Amino acid sequence: MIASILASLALVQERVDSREERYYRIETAVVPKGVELEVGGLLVRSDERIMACTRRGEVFVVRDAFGAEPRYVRYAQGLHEPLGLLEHQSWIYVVQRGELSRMRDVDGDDRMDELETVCDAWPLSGNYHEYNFGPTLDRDGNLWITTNKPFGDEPFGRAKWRGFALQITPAGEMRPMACGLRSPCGIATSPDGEIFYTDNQGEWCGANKLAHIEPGDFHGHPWGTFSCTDPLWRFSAPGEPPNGMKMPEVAAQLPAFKLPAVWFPYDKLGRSAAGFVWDTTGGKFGPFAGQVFVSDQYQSSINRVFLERVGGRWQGACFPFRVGFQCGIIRVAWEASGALLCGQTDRGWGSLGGETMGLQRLVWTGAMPFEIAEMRARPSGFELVFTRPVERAQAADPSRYALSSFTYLLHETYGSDEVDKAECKVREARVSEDGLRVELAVEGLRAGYVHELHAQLSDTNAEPLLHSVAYYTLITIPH
Amino acid sequence: MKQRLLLVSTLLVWPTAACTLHEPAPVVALLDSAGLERAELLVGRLRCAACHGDDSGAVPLEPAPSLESVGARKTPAGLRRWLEDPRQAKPGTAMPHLLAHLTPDQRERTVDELVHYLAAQGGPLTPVELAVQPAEIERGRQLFHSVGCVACHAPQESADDIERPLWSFERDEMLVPQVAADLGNPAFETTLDALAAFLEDPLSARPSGRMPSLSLEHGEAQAIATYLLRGQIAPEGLEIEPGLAWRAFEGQFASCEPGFGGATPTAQGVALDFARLPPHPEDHFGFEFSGFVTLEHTGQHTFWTRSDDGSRLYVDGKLVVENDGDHAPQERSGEVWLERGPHQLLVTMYENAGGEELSVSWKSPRGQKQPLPAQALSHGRARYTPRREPFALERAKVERGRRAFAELGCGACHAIEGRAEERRSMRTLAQVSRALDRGCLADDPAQDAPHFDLDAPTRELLRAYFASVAVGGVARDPRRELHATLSRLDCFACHRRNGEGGPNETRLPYFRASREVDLGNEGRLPPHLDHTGEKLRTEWIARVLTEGASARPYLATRMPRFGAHNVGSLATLFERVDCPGEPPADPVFDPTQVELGRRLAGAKGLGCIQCHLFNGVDSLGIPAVDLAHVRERIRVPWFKRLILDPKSVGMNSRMPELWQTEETVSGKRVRSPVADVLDGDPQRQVEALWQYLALGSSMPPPEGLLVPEAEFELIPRDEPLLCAVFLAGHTPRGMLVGYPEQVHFAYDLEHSRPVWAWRGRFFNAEGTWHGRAGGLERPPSASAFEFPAGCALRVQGAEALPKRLGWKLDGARRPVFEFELAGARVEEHFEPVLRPGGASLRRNVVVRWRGALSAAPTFEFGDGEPLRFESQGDGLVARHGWEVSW
Repeated sequence: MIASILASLALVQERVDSREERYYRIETAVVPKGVELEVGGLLVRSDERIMACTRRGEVFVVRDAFGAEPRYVRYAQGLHEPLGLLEHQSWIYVVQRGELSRMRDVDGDDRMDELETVCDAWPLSGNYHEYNFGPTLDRDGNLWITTNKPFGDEPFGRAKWRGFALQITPAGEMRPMACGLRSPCGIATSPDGEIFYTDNQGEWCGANKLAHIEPGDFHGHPWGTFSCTDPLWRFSAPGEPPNGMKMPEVAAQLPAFKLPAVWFPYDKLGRSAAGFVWDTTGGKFGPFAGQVFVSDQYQSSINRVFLERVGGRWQGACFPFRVGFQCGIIRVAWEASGALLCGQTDRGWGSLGGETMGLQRLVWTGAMPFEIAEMRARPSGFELVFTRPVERAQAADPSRYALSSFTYLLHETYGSDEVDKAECKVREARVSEDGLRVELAVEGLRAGYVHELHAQLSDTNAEPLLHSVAYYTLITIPH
Repeated sequence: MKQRLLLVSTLLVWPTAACTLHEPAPVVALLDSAGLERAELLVGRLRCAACHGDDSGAVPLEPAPSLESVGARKTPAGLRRWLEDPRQAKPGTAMPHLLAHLTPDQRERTVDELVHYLAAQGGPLTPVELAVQPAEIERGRQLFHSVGCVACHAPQESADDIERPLWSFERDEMLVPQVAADLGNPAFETTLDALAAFLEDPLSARPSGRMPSLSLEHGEAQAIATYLLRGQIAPEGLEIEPGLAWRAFEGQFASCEPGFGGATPTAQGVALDFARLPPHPEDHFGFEFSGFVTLEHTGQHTFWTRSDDGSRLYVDGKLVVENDGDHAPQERSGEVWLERGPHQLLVTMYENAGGEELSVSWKSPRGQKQPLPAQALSHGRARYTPRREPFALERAKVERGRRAFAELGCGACHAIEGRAEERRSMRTLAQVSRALDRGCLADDPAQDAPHFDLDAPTRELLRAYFASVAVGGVARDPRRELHATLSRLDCFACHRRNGEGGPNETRLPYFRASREVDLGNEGRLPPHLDHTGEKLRTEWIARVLTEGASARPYLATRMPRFGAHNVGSLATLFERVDCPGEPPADPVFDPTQVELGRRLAGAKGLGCIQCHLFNGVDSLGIPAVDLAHVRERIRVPWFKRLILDPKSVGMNSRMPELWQTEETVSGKRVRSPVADVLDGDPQRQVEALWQYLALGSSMPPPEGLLVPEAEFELIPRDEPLLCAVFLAGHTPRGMLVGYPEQVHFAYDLEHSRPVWAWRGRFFNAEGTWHGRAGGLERPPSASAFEFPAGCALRVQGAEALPKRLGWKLDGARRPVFEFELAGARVEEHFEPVLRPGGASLRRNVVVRWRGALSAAPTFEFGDGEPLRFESQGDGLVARHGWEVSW
């Protein structure tokens, strides 16, 4: 019985996978023997050399990564679990456990010659889980990193500034900017200069999320907030989070508490949100320019996020995009061709796909998928934007849409169920002339809740939506 | 006087071997040299001079047991039995009976008072009941019969018997006490802990060195004690309970040898099956599960272990599953034919770092593979119930005992209460020689004399000896002294020298190899001592004698440690006898020869790797001695002779003839089969080989040697390897740097200072790179050097903290660490320097100061050297380097 269910699930998975494959193709890089490519960070240089730092402390320069004979040169070694790379002012910045450093190759042989310590102002407890992520550059030339909280032994004593977003000024000063982070595996800057990060479900973090970071934020995890009595924290104290309260209520009670822009419902859309990038390819990657692609470290998948600013706050929808990679993806980066590089490792965490590490890329085949490109909040419902004209009669039928909402609890226990679920009623669906837009009039919208949409729609050739589900995190209902 | 000397010299019998020694003047003696030696041994052991005084100081006294904490070693009952008559308690003892002249009543009272006095020295020892796992007794039994105890003490079981498990369900009669007479009957005179403490460090209680230390770890000493005191097990003291008994060990292990090298268990308990591991720390631990597995069918059984890291499974003491070593979860199996019924089962596992697991499965002749079921497992417990006697210290008796101790002159031999031996003022030995038929030497000694119970020939021997002392003392002849020392410490019990000694027939079967080695008798018998002083360096002999240094790890029998005070001159005596004259100087170290020597040692050279270990790495064949230790052990001339002409050194070893003889017009010529190194000249090749071997633990491995490549093992080959780690006890910001020159160091980036340096194996990164990892790392070498605290630059008389700036790589890709200290910019770089005995590190430091020198604080380098600045560009620079060797 169970076996047959599993088999049918596998079949479903395979079907979606093969349909996705028509539009987005996965290519696998051959990694030479002897190179242990447990990717921690990825960087594409202007001349298309790829740089990858690994969890074993090495940095490789890779030429012709997806060719038959890729060339790997070890740029650096001896770094402490580096989990991010950035090129800035002709230096390669890298974040290690103990410091933010910058490296350069002076003589042009693809091998590092110098490493400078940029900032090492945070202590370490010696716990394995005190990973650091980043850096990303803000519009003022500061670098940002996020710091993981420890789990278990702290042989060198409890360390401050864990679970923080830290800003490092060009002079190397450290400024803690936001607290309450849990396992903030991704941090990136939007094209308009805003800092976002991804966090992983666990205690005090009901589900995976993508959140906007603003100075003084408290993102929910109380582990590191004892550091906020230090004068380096220039904001008001975040306060004690209530244990077991619904997220929107916490936000109403604790002014510093920041709800995320997007929740990724656990298992439905990933299990470990990791690296992310905005689509800046200008169409080379398909019809989603300006949207965010977020990798998942456990499901070995890429999810897609549409963001909009409503009432001054970022919010938006997430969609399934592509599954079937060989290993959990921790980092993503654009190649000049518009392909999405996917750096992989599953060590210590596990992932689907069967491989333990590696490098793949996702290439748009040029065929136009039939997808809900955007899901926008409206005062009385949602607007859907399609990549291709929808079959209008279907799209106008409210019974084709199933919409419900739920939220999570902020509490000490690991993860949260979807709580306070309720059905929404789609009263009316108005389709635009060109068949590219549908306006849904909805009863029962709830601010602060995730709205889960299932749409049974086809295009004019009777081809169904590639992915028929979307999750909109409705922080604010627009006026 | 001189004339009389010459008259009696004809009585002497000298060793006949040809001898290049300068002969000392002939010695007066009424004895031949063997008799003289025997007499001296006796006089030293009986400590005649302790009471009588010996003006000549000719015979060193053998120290008597210290009574400093005798109360913690022996129960009052044991003390009493000893004092009532030492000769009864231990036949042949050197301790005389001193109470013969007392009436029975007086004697009983005096003994009682002395017992109270002695029991008060750290005691009284109270026997306690204890439960012990039979596996522990079994281990003690194996150790007792293999590590060397039975070279001197009587074996307690036959060599065939100890091949069989001590305790099977059928043969539990083995646990019935059967204690050898010459060990006394310690079962009721001491406790497990007290005996173990004595075995672990016998020299502090018995400084004579006649009971040497076998370098037993605490756990090993405990195990032997459980075996020797098995008489304390009550007949009904054996119990069978479900599950396996486990013991936990903590430490960084590399193998799951049962007992973990004698480590002390940190916890113990009972596991019903292998479903989960008992509680343990995150990393660095080991477990030992012992008990019985009961089989339902007779036939071929298969066992599996699946573990991370290593594991082993033994049935009835035989290794069945070998799954040892650092590795990710892996399964291994072994088959064994077994009778139905219970068998002894022992499973060991260890975890270095990262993930850990252990599961054990089996397949019986009629079953399928399945986890070892709980119902098949049981373990025994042996309850030790020592005899308890009511005893309470009485202060008055202690006081009277102290007086009796003084009056009887016990202090002439025994140290007690912080006082060393106190000589009694009696007639000196010179005076004694005029009354050789009186006192202790009388045929029928007076009541008030100490009673040694000497037989008539011994009395004659001593009389002859003292007579000769009277006529001129005893000569110091190194040859005789060497022989006397070897006899006194009974080296001949294990070693043969010049045809004398070596294990006797009855003890031969107990000399075993510690593992399967195809070395014949060489693999199990201690080496002979012919030419020892010519072959071995004096310093090495001293280390063997006092530190337990050994070149033959495959021998189960251990070289005892006798204590420096007992062997002080032995190493030198070997040199003076076997290698007279100036000790040969070592050739000047020439690093340019190293690579040539390395080629010669390898597969395409003379093939030393075929038989010899290199720095702990197994040879391709037999485990002949590790050549990494050649320089510290072997004298150069002997090394050359051995390799150029193995037969000439009379080693009787397996060292093959390496050279070929060529016929040429001008006659025969000896050539090396390796023609392309140093013109095939054997002489020059042997010299190059020496230069290479002189690097010791930092020699690069020869070609063809199969260096085991464990997963995560980092081996610097062409250029340095860097690995960032948490440094145990120092900093979470650490870096390990491994050089191809086989010398390595750990650097604390947080405090800008080196922490450790070591040679040989660099590092296995599993703890840092496996799973979620985060291990606290240390050098893999036990002999790592620890750098003194502080930076390469100091401010005189002030604390200055470094600020890390980063690091760069030099032309050889070695890191140059940069930091700022009190306004100065410092670069620090470690350069490998090849040295005989192992590469060392030179710490090169450059200090840059911008601005006026007058504004600089008074700096000094880390070795105390003052800075001498020179102008360079727009600043000042000071450079200095110093070698760090260990």
